Amino acid sequence: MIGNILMLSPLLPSARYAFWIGEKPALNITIEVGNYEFILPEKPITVPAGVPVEFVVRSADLVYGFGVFRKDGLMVFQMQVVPPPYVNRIIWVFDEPGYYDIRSTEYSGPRHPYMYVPDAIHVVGSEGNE
Amino acid sequence: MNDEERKILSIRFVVFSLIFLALAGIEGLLMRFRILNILTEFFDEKHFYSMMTAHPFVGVYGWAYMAVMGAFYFLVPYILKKDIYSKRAAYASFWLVLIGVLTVWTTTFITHYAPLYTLYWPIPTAYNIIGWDIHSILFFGLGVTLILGGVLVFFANMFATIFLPPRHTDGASPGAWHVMTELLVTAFNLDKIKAKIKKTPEYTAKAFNYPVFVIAVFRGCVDTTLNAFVIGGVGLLLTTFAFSHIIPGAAIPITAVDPLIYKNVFWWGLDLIADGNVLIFTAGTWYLLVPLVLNRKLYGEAVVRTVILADLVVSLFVWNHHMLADTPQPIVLQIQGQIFTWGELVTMGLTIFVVLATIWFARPVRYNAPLRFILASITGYAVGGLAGIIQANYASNRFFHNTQWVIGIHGHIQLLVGLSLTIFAAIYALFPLLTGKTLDERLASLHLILWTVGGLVMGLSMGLAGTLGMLRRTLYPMGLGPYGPYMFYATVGALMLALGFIVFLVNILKTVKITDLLKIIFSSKY
Repeated sequence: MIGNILMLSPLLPSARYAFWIGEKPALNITIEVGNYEFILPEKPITVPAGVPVEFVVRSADLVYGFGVFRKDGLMVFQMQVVPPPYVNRIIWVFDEPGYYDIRSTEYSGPRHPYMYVPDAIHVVGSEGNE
Repeated sequence: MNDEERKILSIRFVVFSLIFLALAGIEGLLMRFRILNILTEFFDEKHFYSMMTAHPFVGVYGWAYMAVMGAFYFLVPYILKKDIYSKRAAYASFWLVLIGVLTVWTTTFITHYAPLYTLYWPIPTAYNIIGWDIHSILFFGLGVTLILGGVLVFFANMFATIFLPPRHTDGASPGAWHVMTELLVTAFNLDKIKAKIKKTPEYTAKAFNYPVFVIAVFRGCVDTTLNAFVIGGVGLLLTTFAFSHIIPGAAIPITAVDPLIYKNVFWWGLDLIADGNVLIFTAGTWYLLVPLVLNRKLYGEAVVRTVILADLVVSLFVWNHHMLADTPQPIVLQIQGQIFTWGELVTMGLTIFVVLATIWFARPVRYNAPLRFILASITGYAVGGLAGIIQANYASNRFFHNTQWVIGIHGHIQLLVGLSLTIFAAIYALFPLLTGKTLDERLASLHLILWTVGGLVMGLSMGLAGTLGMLRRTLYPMGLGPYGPYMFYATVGALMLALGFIVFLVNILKTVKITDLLKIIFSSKY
């Protein structure tokens, strides 16, 4: 609660997801990153809108970033991918159904700009309207 | 060192710092074109990122540090009316930083080694995955060690100059330990705290014996010394790592270093440049130049001494604002980083207020070049500082981290419009003292307008692209998409900056002959 007030979290969803959601995420998605590639459990990853989803991202070698982008280039959220022994987790609730891209948000060597997976996530509407 | 020798040393530092600024500017412009996917034939990704690695080292250590070192080697003895403690150390610091920056630049230029200034473990050392040459790690590490070694020699010389009696005045001169204790006691007002505990009546803190500018110098030097130990330590670590991999059977494994602990130590050290060099040194320069130009006492001097102290303490606890996107980082540190960062905004705000109040109470004021440059510099700090507080938030960092926002509207406006304009103000103010000649005021105005507008256009365009999700440190080989127009305007801003710099050079070369300048630079045997 104190953390919530200090971080002004009611104003922005990103902190709300980090601090408020006490319940277990409805879905866990594990993504491995290694040798400049995202290894996704399925392509596209299908995720329902409106429910908390946890992304668990592990690097096999270097520092990377994990960023989810809308089709118009706007960033939805991101986190750093710290290499082992660390596991990087983030909870997100997608509001809008549609396709989302994944891009590495941290430099990891000259091949970094090519770490881009278009249409990697497919968010489907909870009413089945997508 | 006599007065003349100090002038030669300062001019030498400033001339080389300007050469490095030009170099950083050329790199910046080339990178701007490459981001627009122009010049792709000329340089590939490896070349681009090696340039991006050299750019901050040349810009920060080559330009900002060397200019500051040159100015302080002249100003501190001038204000305290006492000589630099060691002439040899002064020249050693010049050569170490110069050779260090050149080593870093040459290594990245020749080998295309590109760990970027962030040096996140294990990127600088993962040569077998990324494909660096092992020798490039060795030379790069050596270059970084030399730069920070030079910086440490400079600070030790500054501390000794401020806290020790002049050399050769008596046989038993107090040594390094005396300087260290005197420094820590004075820098953190420990004597005042002790007096309070002991209830000594009417005790005046030692810091009050020094002019405000000198306080800013030694308190800023505390930050930058700690920074030099950390970043110099990283340089040494890279050198040792490379050596161990060249000698058969001695290889240090990459896993020997914990990437998250390393990142914490690295940012703790690196952020101290932002506080020591960019904030406290700048504040000190304003506190010196504004009263000097207006011939008036600084407004609220007693408060200012406390503000500088507060800034020093705050600066030791803010590093986590660089790690808000690292989810394995303990949440306590995330909260601490965010809250202490607010403290920086308060101290910066007070600094700006004090300077503006001094000018206000000195009305009517003739706005000469140094004063106009300082006012524009304040604008840079206001814009860059506000952008900083927006991104240094745990929640907003989810979409600001590593975007063009951070490096454009915060980083580059703070460094180009904020810090660089203060350095230029100091150059305009010191020029008559160092050379006996005054620079042209009209050309100075043109320089100011081009540089300020160019810096703001570039920084704001980058920042706006950042709000749309454009990342820093990323090329978009498949096309810039919605970010394209912003990168075009950023390039226009960069060209204005370049033009402003050319006007400044014309002004200097119109006032002093280049042959005279070269004569001054080479007139010392060191």
